[in-house]
Amino acid sequence: MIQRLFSFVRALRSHGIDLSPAEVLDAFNAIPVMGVERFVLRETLAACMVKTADDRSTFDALFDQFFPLAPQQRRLRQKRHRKGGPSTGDGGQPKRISPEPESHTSPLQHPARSGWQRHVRELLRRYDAHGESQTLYPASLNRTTGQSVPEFGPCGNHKPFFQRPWTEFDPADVERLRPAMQKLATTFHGRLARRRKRARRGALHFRATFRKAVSTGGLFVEPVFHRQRPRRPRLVALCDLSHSVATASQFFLQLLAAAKPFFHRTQFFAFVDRPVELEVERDHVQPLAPLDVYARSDFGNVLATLPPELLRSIDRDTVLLILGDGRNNYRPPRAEILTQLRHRSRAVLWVQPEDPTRWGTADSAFLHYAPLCTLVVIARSPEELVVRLSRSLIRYV
Amino acid sequence: MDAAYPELESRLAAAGYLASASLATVLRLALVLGRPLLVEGPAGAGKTEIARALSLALGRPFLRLQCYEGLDESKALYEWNYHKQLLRLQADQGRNASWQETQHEIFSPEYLLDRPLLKALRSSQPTVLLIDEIDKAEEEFEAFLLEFLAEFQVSIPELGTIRAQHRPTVILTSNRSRELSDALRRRCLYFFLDFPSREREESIVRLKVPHLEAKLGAHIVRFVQAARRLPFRKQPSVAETIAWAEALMALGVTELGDPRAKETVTALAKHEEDLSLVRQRWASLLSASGR
Repeated sequence: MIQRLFSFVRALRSHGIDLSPAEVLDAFNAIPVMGVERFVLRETLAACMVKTADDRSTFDALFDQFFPLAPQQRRLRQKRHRKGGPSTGDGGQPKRISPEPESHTSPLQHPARSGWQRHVRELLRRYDAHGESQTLYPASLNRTTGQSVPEFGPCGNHKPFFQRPWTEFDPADVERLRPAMQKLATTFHGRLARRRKRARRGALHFRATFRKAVSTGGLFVEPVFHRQRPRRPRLVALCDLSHSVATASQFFLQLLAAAKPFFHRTQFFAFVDRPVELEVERDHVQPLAPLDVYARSDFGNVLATLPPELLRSIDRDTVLLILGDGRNNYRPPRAEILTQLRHRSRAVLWVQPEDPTRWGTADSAFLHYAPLCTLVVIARSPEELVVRLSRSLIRYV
Repeated sequence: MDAAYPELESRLAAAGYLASASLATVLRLALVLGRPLLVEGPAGAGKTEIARALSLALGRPFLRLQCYEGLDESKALYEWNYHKQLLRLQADQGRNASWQETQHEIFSPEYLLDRPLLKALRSSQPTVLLIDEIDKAEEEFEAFLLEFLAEFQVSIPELGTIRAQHRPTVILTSNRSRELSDALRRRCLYFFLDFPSREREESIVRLKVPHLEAKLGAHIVRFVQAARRLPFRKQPSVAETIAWAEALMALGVTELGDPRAKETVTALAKHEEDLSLVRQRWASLLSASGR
């Protein structure tokens, strides 16, 4: 039993469920109190080890493999499935190990209980008697279930993963990176919130402190500090979606979705060779018009075709945030439009996923744009993106 | 073996909460292990009700901490009663007490304002503590909760460490408006509370709207369950099913085919878009309701 639980834990981890030793201990402590009836065991382990709803389906699939129903029960369920009868797999009702109508025998002697449950009881008893040293269950799954656990990519330490440069991420894998992005977006939100709070605290406000002290009989109970006038910044983000920066832009949009509450208004545009407005929420990104991602990227044309009402609305409260590598396929950079934007907006920040050594090489027009920006944020990996973007944005929120 | 809180399910039912077998198991587990339980799920699925029903079922006092942006220790844990302390100082002015004595006096439990967390710790009997919508509070507060949830103790500089006399049963709820930290999740048991199955929702409606005709109740539930499959901005929750059932009963509508039924769907759909969606699909939803 213990061995099987350990291999179950290993399998969960290899399927991307982060399990800490504390959680595993919790689960092991819970089993003796809660008992090993299959349904109860499943819910117990799930409550202790699965901490987000998204992981539950993975957990259930693995649980079925490691703790299969007794053979009779399995046949019964298959039969029911074939008949199209009521499904027992909805989790709403407890699954019975033994079929109801034959309850005339004592539950412990019941043939349907001869499956894993009796085994588990026996193993638990033996475990208590002899301690952990015995290998009670051979690790091979195939003997117990006839099924093998599908292999999944390696998971584990996230830190080196986030420090990898964009080129090591496959744009086709973006969907699989979603949970990691969500995690980073949360970090990003937290950093901004903390920094903003710190930045807002001002010096001691003498007069206000005195006034407040009057109500407490002249005792200085509570100091009052100057507060910064709340800003109401607006964000306009332009994000290159072409293949060369695809992964970076997905991360970028997720981070900005999380940062939305810090802005009075946000507007997102995606572009390859022309701008298309985007709807960005924490769980999805949706272009509001068709976007040709296979076009040849051309930032000059994007600048020239920005919607006129957007250009008119850019004012001193607007922060313009651009992500792109500035590779224009040798087309005119139209840098003079960016100069105009710079003059009318509060700031133009350019997030550049490329290493500085590559700027201006081949079809890169970035050296035309870079001097016109208020700030260029070099973000060569997800971690750099989070750290540097939050540090730069904080001045404006 | 599983003798811990065996009647919990029926007692919860008696308290007006029909828990699924999964939820009952997890609640028993939380009680046995003395661990906080984090419940996530869509709004209106009955997360908050769990704690209320649990306190009724166990006969324990119910404490609630509603989280919001800007919630801090002084609102959640304790605060010194400045005004009372000042009053005391002024009253003492004639007396020649030493500063030591005075200090000792004004920083005694008498001048402490208990907030829910401290109340739960100082209570002479076990309590059920609900920390509602933890996702609304800031991350700093979440971090502050960690000590409380792991050790069930807090430190007050002037009084020392206060340890729980009885471990409170803690239920945290979250609407997932932001992701909670892994550290918090690690310290809690976890349960995802989804909308109930059809049978259970029918029993819930029967329980909450007892005078409703059983057949109409079944139709309403089937209608709502079908509606939940539509792309709503806000899916109709159990609370809304009940509200709609009550509205229909108040109007004396006996079947969903009644034209007045269509006018009451505002109880069900809370957005302009959702409302027009229901009206558009009215016919197909009606046929799904089995009327």
